[in-house]
Amino acid sequence: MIPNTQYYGDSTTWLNATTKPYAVDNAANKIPSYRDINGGITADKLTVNTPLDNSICYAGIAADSPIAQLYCINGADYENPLFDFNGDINFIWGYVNTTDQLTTTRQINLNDLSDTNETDRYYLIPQSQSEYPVGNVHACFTPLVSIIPYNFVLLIYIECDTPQFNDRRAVALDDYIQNLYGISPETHPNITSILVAPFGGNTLTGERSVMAINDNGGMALAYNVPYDLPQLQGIYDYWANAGNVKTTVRIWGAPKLIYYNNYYQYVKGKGGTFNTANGILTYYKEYGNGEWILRCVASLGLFFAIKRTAAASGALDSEYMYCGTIDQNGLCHGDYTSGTDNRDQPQYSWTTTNDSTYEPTVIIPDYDDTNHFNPYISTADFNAVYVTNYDNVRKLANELYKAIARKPTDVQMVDYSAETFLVTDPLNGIISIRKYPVNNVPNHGITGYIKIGNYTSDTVQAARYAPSNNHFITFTFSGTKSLNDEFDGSFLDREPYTTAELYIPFCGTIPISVAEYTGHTINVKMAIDYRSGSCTAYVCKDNTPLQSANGQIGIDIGVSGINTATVDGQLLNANLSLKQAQRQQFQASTSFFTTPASIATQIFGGGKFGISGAAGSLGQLTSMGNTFENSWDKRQAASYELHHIQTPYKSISAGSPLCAAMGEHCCRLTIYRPIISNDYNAEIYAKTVGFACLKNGVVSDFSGLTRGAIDLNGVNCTDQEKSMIVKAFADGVYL
Amino acid sequence: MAFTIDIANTTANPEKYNKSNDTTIIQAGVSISPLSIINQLTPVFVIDYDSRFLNANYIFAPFLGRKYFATVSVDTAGRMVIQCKVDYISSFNLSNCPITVTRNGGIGKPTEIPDNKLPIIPNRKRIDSKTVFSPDINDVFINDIRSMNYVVTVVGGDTE
Repeated sequence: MIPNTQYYGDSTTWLNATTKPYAVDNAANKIPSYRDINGGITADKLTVNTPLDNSICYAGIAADSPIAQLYCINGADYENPLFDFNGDINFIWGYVNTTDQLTTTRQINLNDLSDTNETDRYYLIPQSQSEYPVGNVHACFTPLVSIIPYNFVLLIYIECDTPQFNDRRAVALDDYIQNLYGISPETHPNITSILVAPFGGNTLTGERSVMAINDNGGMALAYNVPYDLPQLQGIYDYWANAGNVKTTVRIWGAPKLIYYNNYYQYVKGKGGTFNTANGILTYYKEYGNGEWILRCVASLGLFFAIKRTAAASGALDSEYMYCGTIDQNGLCHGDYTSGTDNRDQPQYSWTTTNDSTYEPTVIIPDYDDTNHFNPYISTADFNAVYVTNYDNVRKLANELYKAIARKPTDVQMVDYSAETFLVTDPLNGIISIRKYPVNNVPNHGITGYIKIGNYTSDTVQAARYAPSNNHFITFTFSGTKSLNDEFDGSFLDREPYTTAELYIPFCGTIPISVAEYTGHTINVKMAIDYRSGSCTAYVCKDNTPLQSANGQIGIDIGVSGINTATVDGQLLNANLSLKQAQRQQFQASTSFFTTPASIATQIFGGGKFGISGAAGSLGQLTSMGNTFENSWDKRQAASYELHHIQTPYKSISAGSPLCAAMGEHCCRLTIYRPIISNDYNAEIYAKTVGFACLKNGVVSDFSGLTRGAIDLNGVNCTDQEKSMIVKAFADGVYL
Repeated sequence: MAFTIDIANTTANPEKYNKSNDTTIIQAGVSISPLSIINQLTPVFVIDYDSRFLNANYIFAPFLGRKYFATVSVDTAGRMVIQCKVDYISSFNLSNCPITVTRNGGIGKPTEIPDNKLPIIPNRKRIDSKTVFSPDINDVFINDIRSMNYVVTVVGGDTE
């Protein structure tokens, strides 16, 4: 097999794993330096969210990368995370010569892929390794502060036992899966095995994919049958070394279990003897596309391969070559590209380790863990705000209507002194009643009788509203990324082809910027104003709020309150009108019944007016009769009005929060993706049309149908031929 | 002066830059004797008849520094006449020529650059809905009459 010198440079420049790394720093090329671990050296450490330097190795581990989520077992505290988020040492690149410790352990030298007996290997070493002083078997671990990825492609290896469990060695991921489980990576590309990290006793095995666990007879399982054991997450005893020292392993995720009975053969590789009566339980887990392990390695920002052939002879843009992507802050989140997409990564074109234009002193916050939200801002109350429940609201309504019933009917008898403020009409003192679709509105927890103005309830108790910090409802997305590319990050994954909107309870639906949120997690924090019933939802990209939406969450309860001022006014006016009408009627009737005598005198007494005077007196009588009738009618009307005064209700009701409460109570992200015609065939399209792009390079950088503008300066041919070549490339050439 | 050409057959697209994998040499080093002026772009070669050359369609002419598409015919004297047209794409080393590519098949999939030729069905989209929820959603939004979730705001009282 020919080493891939074309891409990795001359083999003499390769980082040679068979000898120790260069002992002296080379500032120009960032040649790896190393330091023996000596009682917890703190130099050259990496910290989460902090790039190392401005070379290609500047890649820092972002806090949201999978590898930052790992826990390691450090022998003392099994709960310590691999990364210390307080900014201490988190991991180091380690170089180890395993000859010194495990004589039967075999490692693979990247330089000689046929050699499986080499004893040197690079590890990603947890911080905890530094706890071991120089002099013991762990002194051989050597941290590297930088690596030259241009000459160094990581090959994903896992340390494991051979299928026969008679030796321990490092094998390529694909080989391991195929050999141990008889599963071809071609047909089952989704299996990886790294899940158990043993550490303990006087052996240091690094992260291992498969580990024997002493069953102790507790689990009677069928031989070689995968068995889901999600409850197995945790820490288990296992027998680690020849001394029968019990140590522990930790299991992540939801492993499956396979039972093997060749326990003895397994431990034989270490030269130990164990009780063969107990079986071995081997765990493995199937990860989608090996995604977890790929993302872990991608967190380092280097090129890596999962196939030995790809690492040895594959181009940096070959199918099984991966590249961890680095964001503008120099941080790796576990994302990666593969194949030809690697060309888009800055590492692809760097020829020295200092080609990066990244300036570590300028860090643009991306993963924002700043707290953008403030505690509740306390405000003074001019009114009294109570928190109560359904039953007490009903009781309050009943009681207040009874209070109204006690109101004197003759408003003129009422004493409108200050002491009676709202006593006789407490319903009028209610400003609002709202129901909030939450479990508990913040309150003091101490109940007392409700006071409305000067009226104190006889029966209804409620707690006082207590402003606190509990005014947020947080909607957290369940996955790692809310918006993912479905078309490999192409234009189809961007607007206007792909659009998204977010439904937020009580606030409605708002459009979401696909470009802004893709690759990130959307969280929503809803702030509630329990005084006004309004709410504001803050849509956060990871932890950073980018958008907001307002709504009404408080459901107004219709309060049938009588406007007593209006009632009193109407009652008073109606009474006055009635009394006036009564007086007018009395006057009219008196006039009507006394006037006829004088009229008769005028007629029959032969007065000077004669007939004509009699006629005038009859008209006057008729008029008085009409006045009487009119006054009677007015009295009747006033009486009618008095008895038909409409009680003026005030209606406080807004249906929208109630409707929203009956709707979905979770945020819902809806993504609208484009549909490509079923007749589309990518392979044929590539050969006949080609995919739109805008790439610069030289002709040899491209393959397949290629259209573009070519510069023929320096090519020795006729001008006519040059014109034809230019035109040919404009029309399309197969490279 | 005698010159030689290589007579070959190619199945490659004319627009293909590197035709070597699709080209079979029928016979290399066939001697020709120019009888008149040979045009560099459209030369014509006359050679003795050989039935193997009837299917030839590609010529290497080292003395002209070019490769040619060829059309073979036979004249009245029984000689083979090979009419050539320069393959300007494959004749020169363009590997290091700078190029700005606007379409490429080797990418294998759409890129970030909008592609108006991709057959996207207009006015139709697939809905991909994902629920965002709070882990304590059932605690947050609850419809229990015992819940202390009514807020009564009243006039006066003991304000705080």
